This record gives sequence, C-alpha cells and structure tokens, in this order.
Amino acid sequence: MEVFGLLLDGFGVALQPFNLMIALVACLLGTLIGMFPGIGPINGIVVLIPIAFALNLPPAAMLILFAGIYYGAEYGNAISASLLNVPGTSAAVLTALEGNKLSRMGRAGKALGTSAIASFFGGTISVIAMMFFAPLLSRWAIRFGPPQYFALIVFAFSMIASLTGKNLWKGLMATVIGLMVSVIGLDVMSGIERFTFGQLKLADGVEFVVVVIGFFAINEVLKLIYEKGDGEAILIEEIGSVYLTMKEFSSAFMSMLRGSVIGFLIGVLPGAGASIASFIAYTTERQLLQPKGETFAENGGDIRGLSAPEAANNAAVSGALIPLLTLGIPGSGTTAVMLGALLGLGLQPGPLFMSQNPDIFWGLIASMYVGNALLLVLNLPLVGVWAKLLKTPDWFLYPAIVAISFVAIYAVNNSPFDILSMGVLGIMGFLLVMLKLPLPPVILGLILGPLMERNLRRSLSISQGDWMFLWSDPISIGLWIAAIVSLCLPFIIGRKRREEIAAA
Amino acid sequence: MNSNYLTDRVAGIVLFLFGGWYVWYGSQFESPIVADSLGPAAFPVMLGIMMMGLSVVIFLQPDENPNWPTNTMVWVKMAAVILSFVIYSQIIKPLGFVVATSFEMYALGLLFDAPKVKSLITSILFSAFLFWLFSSVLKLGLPTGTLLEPLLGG
Repeated sequence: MEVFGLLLDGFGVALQPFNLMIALVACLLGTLIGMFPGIGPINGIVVLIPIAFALNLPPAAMLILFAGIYYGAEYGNAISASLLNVPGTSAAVLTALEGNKLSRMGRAGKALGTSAIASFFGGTISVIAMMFFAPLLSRWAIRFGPPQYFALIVFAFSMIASLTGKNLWKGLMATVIGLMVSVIGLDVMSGIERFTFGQLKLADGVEFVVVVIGFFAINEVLKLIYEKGDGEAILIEEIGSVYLTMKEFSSAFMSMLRGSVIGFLIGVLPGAGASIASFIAYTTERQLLQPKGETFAENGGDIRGLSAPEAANNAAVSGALIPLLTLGIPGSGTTAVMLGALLGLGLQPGPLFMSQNPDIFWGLIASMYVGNALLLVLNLPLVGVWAKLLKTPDWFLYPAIVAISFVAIYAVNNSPFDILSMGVLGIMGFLLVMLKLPLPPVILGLILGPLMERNLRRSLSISQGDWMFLWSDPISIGLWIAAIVSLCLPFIIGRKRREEIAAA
Repeated sequence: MNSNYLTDRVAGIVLFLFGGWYVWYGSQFESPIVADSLGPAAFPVMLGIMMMGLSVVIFLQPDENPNWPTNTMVWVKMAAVILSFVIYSQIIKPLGFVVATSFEMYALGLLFDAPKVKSLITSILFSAFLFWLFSSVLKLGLPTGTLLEPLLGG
C-alpha cells in the first residue's frame, strides 16, 4: 500500500507549522470569500496570486493556500445562502432554496450545521477518491503525445463552452477571444514576435495576473455598481442550535454520501464544476424520493435537499483538481487561474507532476484532510461571527476589494501602469458580460492557448504536415468524439435542463 | 428590426471585422525555421477565421434580452470609475499608498451610495490598515509618497 506511505509523508509536509498556518488562513479567507455574494473562489485566488508570489511562498504552501480558498469558499457560500437567501457562489443556488426555507422557520442553525457537515463529507470523501484516482489518471496520461494533448484541450474547450453560459456560440466565442489574446508575445517555436506592435512590454505576452484581476475582481465590482438597487436582502439573525440530532443526521447521511460521489465524478469533467454538480445531486435526491411517494418538505426546507448539493459542491472541488494536477489541463476558470500560478512558479502540472513533486502533491492531499476538519470545527462555533460579518455594508466591502486588488497588482512589478491596465481590462470584462459572453472560457483560452498551439505544431512536425495524424489513434479519436458530443449537449439537454431549473 | 437584437448585431459586425483584421495581420508572420512545418501564422489565422464564423452566427441568431445597459447613468458611473483609476495611477507615487487608496475607496463608496462621513473614516482606516499589513508585516514595500516623505522625516 504505497499510497499510505506517500500520504504519511504528505502529512509530514501539511503539518509543518508554517503550512498548517497557511491552511488555517486559507480556510478562513475561503469561508469569507465564499460567503460574500458577488465574490467567489476565483476572485479570491486571483488577488492572492501576486501577493503569494511577492511573499515568495514555496510551491507547496501556495497550492495549499489556493486549494484551501477553493474548498473553503464552498463552505462559506452556504452561510449567505441560508441567512440572506443570496447564494455566495453559483454553486449555492439550491442551498439558498432549501437553507433559506429552514432559516425562515427559525432553524437557521440547523441549515448551517447541515451545510457544514455535508461540506465536510463531500470534502473528505472526495479527497479519498482523489488519492486513488489521481495516480490512475497520471499513469494513463503518461502515454499522451502532442496529438492526444491537442485533442484533450479541444475537449476541455468544448465542454466549458457548452456548459458555461446559456449560448454555446458565445461560449465558443469567449474561448476564441482568450486564445487570440494568448498569441500576443514572443512565439517560442520560431522566435518572432506576434501582435506586439513593437511594444517591449508585450514581448512576454499580456501579464496574466493583470488580466485575471481586471476580469474577475474589478469587473465584479463594476457589475455590482450596475446591478445595485435590486432590493435589499433580508438577513435572518435568529440562528438557534447548529448541532444536528442523531435522527436528523441519519436521515441526511445517505444524501450526503450520494452527493459526494456525484459531485466528485462531475467535478473531474471539464466545464461541469460545482454548480452543475450541486444541481444534479439535488435533482437526484428528489427523484429518489418519488417512488417512495415522498417529496421534500414543502414549506419548511428539507435537510436532505440541503445535504446533497452542499456535499456535491465541495466534492466537485477535489474532482476539479485532478485534471489540473495529473493532466495539466484545467476544466474551469478557477483551476485555470491556479494553473497560471503554477506555471509562474516554473512548475508544469501533468502526468509526471505527482512522481516528480511528491511532497507538493501529497502535501496538498494531506492539507485537504486537515483543512476540511478545520473548517468543520471552526464553522460550527463561529457561525454567529460569520452572520455578523454579513452585515458589512456594500459601500465598504466592494471598495475594500478594489483596494486589496491594487495592493496585489502593485506587488507584481510596482507599476502604476499596471493599475491602469487592470482598470481598462475590468471595463472590457464588463462589456463582455454585458454581451453575455462568459468569462471563464476566456481565461481558459488565455492560459491553454500556448500549450494548444505548441501541441498542434509539434504534431504536424512529427507527421510532416499530415493533419490525419491528429486523429489517428484510439485515445485521440475518443477525445474528438467526446468533444463533438459535448458541443451537441446544449441542443440535446438544453431545454429539458432549463425547464428543470425553472421547476426547482 | 427588433431593437432588442441590436446589441448582438453590432457586436457581430465589430467582432467580424476584428476577426478579419486578425487573419490579415496574422497571415504575415513567417518563421525563419524550416523544421516548423505549420509555422507561426497558421494558428492565429485559424482563430481569426473561427472568430469571423462565430460572429456571423451571433449576427444571425442574436440574443433577445441582452444585458447591455440602456440607462446612461450606468455609463456615467463606469466613466467615473475609470477616471478614479487614472487619478489613482497618477497620485500613488507622489502621495503614497494611503492617501491614494483612501481617495479611491471613498470615490467608489460614493458610487455605492455610502454615507459620506462614515465612508471617509473607514476608507482612511482601511487604507492605513492595508499599508501596515502589507508594508510593515509582510514587507511588500508599498509607496509612502515622494511628496510626503520629507514631511514624515523619511
């Protein structure tokens, strides 16, 4: 049982006082970031990337920090969902539905307690699954050459284009925009500059951190200025006991288990992510009740209906980390940004990542066990504190986020020019959102563009210009078929799913 | 023509032209290396063509309810935000992080209808807190302000 030996070494890394402190900070920050509506893990991570770089955090600590924010946010999102009826992140829409009903019945504590326990289940079960599944995928992907990688990237793009946003064409367009921007800079294969217009600043390509902070922090604040005045949400302050009785826990146990498995499997798929995972987990629970002639409690909110999506959105996080670490191909905006950070450190995630950096990989796994336990232990007693923080007025919160973004950008290379670029990019992101172009595919395109082009050109160099080489083996053919099927998905399930969402 | 479709139609035309320009500009890249059979031009040309194709689709199948704000107030506010960023980038070096950031937070707070006095106080306190946290504790070196340094005895 080689895995356990490696895991033990991983705990050696995760339990070093410095890394333990990072995990604790990450979990608390993640909860906060997930809790406030309008900002999610991606916003938190992009702002922390330059700060983490400027502080010279070692790679393991940086990964522990980002992952902690990622799964911590999926704990935090349940707090605003239940107390404000505003989902903290998009993955908490269904949590808001059931959790807020419970809260209005004076059982807010139960809703928060259930969410925390379900999140812990989802987090922990999926880390166990990750531990066994990641090595398998690594071993499989080790045979990938340029044509397989090219097909895999095409598959990731088609999944994210068809699953984010409502319009497939706009999803694809967003991806192409990202790819077009990724071409800017020095072409490493030929040594010529492309789309730099002689600007020295553009030779290294566009500054990734400036783009992502503009797109995901500044743009978010602009969107909130635009949407402001949709009516104040009502904060429920009566919380009550957060601890579940044995009976309540056992009624929700199976839902948590099923939600975790569903969430993990969907999280591994590119493009799907936590929101879709929580939605499928929720509808599955509802359908399982039908043959028994039961439904979710109509008016009071149902603990089972809350457990499944909360377990699923946490499990999806560990799932999403697998393709990032074992293939080097992220399937979501958040993991794409994490890839950008890892590449900035000179680390190339991929099939060899686990065996070449066992301390980083297993340190991360161990820290996720620790982090989930920390979140469970911290969240229940701190519920009252979180609820008070939710009273932070918008007029302080969002300007404060901009201020922190400025610190982050300034930390990159002390350049006031970058602050201006970030502002302009924020406006550009806002215009894209106004056109209903989703932003995660833009980022995915921006980060994977160079890898995609390199693999395409290498493939054609190997085959001496024969394009058939791109789909000449079973793995590539399978991935191309999967890509085509995923592009058809919106037409097949589109209407049905929209109807179900409307019904839920 | 239904005015609801206008946003996507205009975007379609603009992006089509952009795609065309990208193809034209991209097709001129030439590699000095022979072994690189595809060369540096093919990928950008492919992207430009895809962009042109997709913008035709968007033009022919526009979304019915775009988010595009028709309220001019929204654009005035966006312009105000940009202006505040321009001012910020100009004053951060001479006046330092604390002054510049207090100004920025206060300006943005006004766009969120903040109470004026409270917002001024919290903006200054929070900017000072960030300066302390990042400059003193985490040693990230934020600008203290070239104009203020003589006054502070630095």
